[in-house]
Amino acid sequence: MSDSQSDASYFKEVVAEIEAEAQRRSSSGDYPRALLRSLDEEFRRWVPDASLENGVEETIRAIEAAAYVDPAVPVSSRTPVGRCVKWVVRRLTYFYHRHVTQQITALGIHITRPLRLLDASLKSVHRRLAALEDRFDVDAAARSELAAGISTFSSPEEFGEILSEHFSKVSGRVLIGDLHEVQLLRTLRDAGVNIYGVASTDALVEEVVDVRQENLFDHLGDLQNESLDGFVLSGIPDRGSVNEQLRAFRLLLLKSKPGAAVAVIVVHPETWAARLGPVAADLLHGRPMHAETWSYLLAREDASQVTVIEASDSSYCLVTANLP
Amino acid sequence: MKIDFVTPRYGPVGGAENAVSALAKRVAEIPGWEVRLHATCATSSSSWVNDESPGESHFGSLTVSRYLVDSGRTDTWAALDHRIQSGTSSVDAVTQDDFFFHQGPVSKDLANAVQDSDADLVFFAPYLFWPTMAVAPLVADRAVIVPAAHDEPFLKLSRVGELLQQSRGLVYGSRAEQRLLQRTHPVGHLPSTVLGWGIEPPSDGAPEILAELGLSNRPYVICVGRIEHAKGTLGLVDFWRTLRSRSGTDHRLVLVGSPSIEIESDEDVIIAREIDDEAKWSLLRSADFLINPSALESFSLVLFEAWAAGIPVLVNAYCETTRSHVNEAQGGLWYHNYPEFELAVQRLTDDEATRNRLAANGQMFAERAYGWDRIVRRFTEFCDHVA
Repeated sequence: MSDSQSDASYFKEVVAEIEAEAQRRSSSGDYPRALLRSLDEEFRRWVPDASLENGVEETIRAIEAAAYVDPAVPVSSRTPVGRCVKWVVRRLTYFYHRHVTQQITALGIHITRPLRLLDASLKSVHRRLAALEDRFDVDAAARSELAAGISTFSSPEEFGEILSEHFSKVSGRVLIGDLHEVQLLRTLRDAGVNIYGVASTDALVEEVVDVRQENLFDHLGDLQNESLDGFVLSGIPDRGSVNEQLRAFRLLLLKSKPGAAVAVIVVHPETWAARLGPVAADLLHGRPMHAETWSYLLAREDASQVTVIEASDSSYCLVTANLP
Repeated sequence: MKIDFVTPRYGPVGGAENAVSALAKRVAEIPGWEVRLHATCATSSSSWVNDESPGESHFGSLTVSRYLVDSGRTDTWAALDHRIQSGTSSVDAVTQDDFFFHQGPVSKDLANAVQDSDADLVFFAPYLFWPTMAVAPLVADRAVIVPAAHDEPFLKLSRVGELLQQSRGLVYGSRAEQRLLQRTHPVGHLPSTVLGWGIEPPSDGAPEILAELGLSNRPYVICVGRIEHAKGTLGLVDFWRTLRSRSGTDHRLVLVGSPSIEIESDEDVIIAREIDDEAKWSLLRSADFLINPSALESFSLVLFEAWAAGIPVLVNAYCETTRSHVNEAQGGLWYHNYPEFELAVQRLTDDEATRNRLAANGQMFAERAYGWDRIVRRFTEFCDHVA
């Protein structure tokens, strides 16, 4: 094990140890409930909602913690007499405080109950969604493992020249994603294309400017409609499921301006099958889509000048078009 | 290449201003690069009173132009601030403009100078103040915004979205900040870079500060930054006092910074107000570790200062930026609640081997990922790309 691996596993171990022990002590009653609640109040006040990992769950817990009101009023005082007076008052009024606090606690329970039901429904929806995804597809982790054998496209220079020409009249922003190597981006930028990249790994971010490390779907989800003047879809057509390919395509169309210049780079299905072993070929059956399918999808969007260009070694295809 | 920076103040004040000034100084040293920094004469962000004289000064190759503040933080500001903090959706554009005017520092001379400048690019930092909100739109075709933003109500204002969308590009401190901005406003397609910030090399220090604060023979942990509610300082003090009463640790908590809330030194907590940089480095070096309790950070230079000083850090787990720094660096720990805080503090105070190991990891990470050579190279590449 290298030093950095050993550091990483040691770090994870320490973090996990602390989290587990904290959990154990909390549930075994090591900390008075009222104390934790009062500490939590100021601590959570400045935590942005978006950063709560289990938002609903944590909110319910916070409501539950806040809804419990302790009828035993503190009796500490600077003087023994003061303490004694407070203690007597507490004894005398305890029945009253307990009556009031029980009602508040009951209200808290009534409030958290529907929230718990809502949370349970949401979790059930998530489970059903996951099951549905499984029925449609091999899960993402297995897919990335199986598709690791596919190298990225082999002839960027060849496509670079064609794409430079294709985007030569585009003055606005052109997106290339999911980016797996920077040569094509550099070629297009050198040719004057106002292009930026979205890459799923951070190595490329260091290599070239104006490339962001982000999931392409997240990136597209945050973009305003009609903000792109063009796009090059790559990577996902080689590795993504059919659903992912179609989703990426739909999102890109939505985010592109009318008349945008578009392109799709896709590995040839035969190259793809030849590079993968039989296991991957079986489990990832149906991917990638043929260049003809991309042409069909673009034509269905009324795109013009739909052109398919095959790389000289026939390993990859480039499909270019202009949106209406 | 000719570039200008615009910040509300210049000097050892404010995280974003400090970071931008340090970058400006280094870029100014590159042959062929002409760099000017525009700032007001103010040094206090709570009053914007003119503390410095207007005019031009030189710091190495960097030219700094200071301008008089016409209008600082006014009485009207508090009411507007409260209104925005309570929810931004009902705040119209006129009220927003009003807020940024009263937020200050307003300087017509600064605005005129920036408009008259022939710089290829003008970098504005941070987003929240009048010089950025009011002046950047006047030079929108050359304006690059360095938001230095965290998740707060002001960021959601429509005027902020308009400012960012009009700009030529964006420079972020961290990936978490980039994600936050892209989620909040549709700016994902604009040219941008995640630069991060470097720190000035640690100074020799002023060890006498330890004796002055009664810390010569006493272990302590340190928290550096503005002492205020929003930075999580009060929450930290609550946690710390509880920890001391439960565990009886000998350690004290030293808060370094200017308090905007009422807080006094006592047996548990020591307040080190208005100390200079040298004293800060001495305090950092002799501390066991640094705590940053804030959940609202866009970069957090202080973590890198702690690592440079050879100590690990403990951060609020709900701050995506600091947690991701710590996770990448493996240079400290984080806490989600009091029980985790207590255990993490005990681990860091009692287990010297872990402390040293995490500190060494942090130091290596800071040098590798946020060394000045890398930052300046990425910055100049970005300027060439955008200009």
